Amino acid sequence: MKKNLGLIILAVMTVNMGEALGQDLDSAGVEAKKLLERISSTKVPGDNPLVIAMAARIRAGDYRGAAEIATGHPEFLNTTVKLMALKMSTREESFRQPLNDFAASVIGVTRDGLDARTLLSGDFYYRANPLLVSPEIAPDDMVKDIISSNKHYADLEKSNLKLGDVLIKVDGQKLEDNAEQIVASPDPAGVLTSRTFLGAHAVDGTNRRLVEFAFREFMCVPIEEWSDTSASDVRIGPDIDRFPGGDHMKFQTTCKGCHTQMDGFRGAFAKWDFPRNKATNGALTNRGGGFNAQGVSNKMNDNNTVFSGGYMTTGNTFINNSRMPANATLFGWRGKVDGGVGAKELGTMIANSKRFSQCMVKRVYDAVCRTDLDTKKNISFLSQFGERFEQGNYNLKKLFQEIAVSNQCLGK
Amino acid sequence: MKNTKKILLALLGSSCLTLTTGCGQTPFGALGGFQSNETATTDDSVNVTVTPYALLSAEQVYKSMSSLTGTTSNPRTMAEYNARQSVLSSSFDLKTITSPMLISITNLASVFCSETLAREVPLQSAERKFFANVDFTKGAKSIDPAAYTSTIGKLSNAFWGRSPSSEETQVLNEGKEDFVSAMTAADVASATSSRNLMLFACTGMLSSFDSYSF
Repeated sequence: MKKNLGLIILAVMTVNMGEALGQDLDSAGVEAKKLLERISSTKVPGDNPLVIAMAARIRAGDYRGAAEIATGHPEFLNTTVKLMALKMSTREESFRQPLNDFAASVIGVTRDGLDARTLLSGDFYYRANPLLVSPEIAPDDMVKDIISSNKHYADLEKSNLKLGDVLIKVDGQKLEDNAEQIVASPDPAGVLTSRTFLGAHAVDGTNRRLVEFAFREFMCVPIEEWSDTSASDVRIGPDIDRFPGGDHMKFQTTCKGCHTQMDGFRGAFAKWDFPRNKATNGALTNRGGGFNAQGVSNKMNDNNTVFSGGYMTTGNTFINNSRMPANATLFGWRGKVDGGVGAKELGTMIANSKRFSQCMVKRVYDAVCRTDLDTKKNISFLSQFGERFEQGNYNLKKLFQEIAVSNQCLGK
Repeated sequence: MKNTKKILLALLGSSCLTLTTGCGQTPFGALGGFQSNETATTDDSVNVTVTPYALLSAEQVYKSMSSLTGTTSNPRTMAEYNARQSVLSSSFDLKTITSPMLISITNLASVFCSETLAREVPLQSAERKFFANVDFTKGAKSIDPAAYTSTIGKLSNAFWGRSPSSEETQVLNEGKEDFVSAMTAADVASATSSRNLMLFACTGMLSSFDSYSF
């Protein structure tokens, strides 16, 4: 495929050597340049070989073919996909931060054409191929450079290497246990259990933030938009006051709405914690302190005298309280939807929903079309492209190509 | 002092270009002009917003300037970027443009243009991409209008993907006249002045609106 693309570019370059610097581009050339700039996130000169090849496709009416060429630009992965992923990876939701393991996985899955649902359930991570980078970048100490710091990824980005060329998929997520041994993660869930995501949302707190941001980033809904006071409050923890300010109605009409949702799901992360700059899990044999006998993180049941009748977490099961009519329509659950065990099953449930596909459409649209798509006003658009995304085997690169040449993104 | 004057001239140039560029091509913009994403809507039934223009983020500005000038990232460009990046954009929203951002973009552009000149000046005329018609062994006054127009045409095609409009050409020509008239007779006769004039033109064009927006 790559060889064919190279031949096409070479052939078109030979025919169109006249389109050198100093001449105005024709309308197809202008469209090609703009399309390439959107997909690669960088301005390019008019004599860029990809522009010339893309213009030929556009003249033939093959916009999708032009977009396919554009995704061959190294900055597509290096910048466009990276920035999109960085924004999803932390609490600040900013792309002004170094490359991290979360973003590396999104880049890798996009490059390799893998099913994007594995981003929430897969047992893998991406790192630089040690055969393709200098010894300073290749991590010689897995714990120091990857498990307990972001050093490897920050170094990789500083090297200015093309990420798409050097990243390699490694099967099996890893943790360091209390005996300082590198062990397999007992509950791998793609980027949900990446160091970056856990570092952002499992550090301290009550692990509710993991649920909030899993839905915020992969379902594109802030917690206030899926709160539901009509759902059961059985799973709400003992640290939540049922009489805030002495007023039970306040709990019933406000607090409960978010907590029925978050607390129902948060059991999935009950065994996860992030002490001392690294992720750990209560299912490890040598798990150290901070967990009870069942391997549940102590923070799950902290402050349990606030409302002693609240739900005490005893394992990492979760239930789905988002199946009442409003949220059922919003999320479009499919497959096993009532509940499950652990982060991997929660990630699988989220990734199988219709809303996940629609959210990926929004993420890609925002990245390529330079806007902030209003999900409420554009549900039919999101559904339409979400279905295409699923028909294309959840291939993110194809989604980028389709969105970039959609009439909506082109303004036609 | 001289550097300050050059920066001011470059800023003046880029400000003028900001006002005049971008209207010549709106390939995806049925709407054209400056619009925020709140006002631009293609169709009532599909309420997808379209932004004909969006701002490049900090990293995108840096990589774009590298791509447009053909200058690979190096310690000098990185040092300037690191000094300026905190005031460059963190989003695509045009409403976030600030004066310090424009000054930083101009400063960064000047470094990329300086690197481009450093690369091209030693080359034979025919081997240069942008400055083939400039004799860098002579002073700025030796650069005739045809050579200057040809050079800004090449820069324009690379940076903006089109020829400069008549207004843009006029602004750049006036900039050249101001630049030359601000120098002493000795300065204008020195070979360095040709390089500085080209640095002025390149910086003004590379820091214009078309170069830091989509």
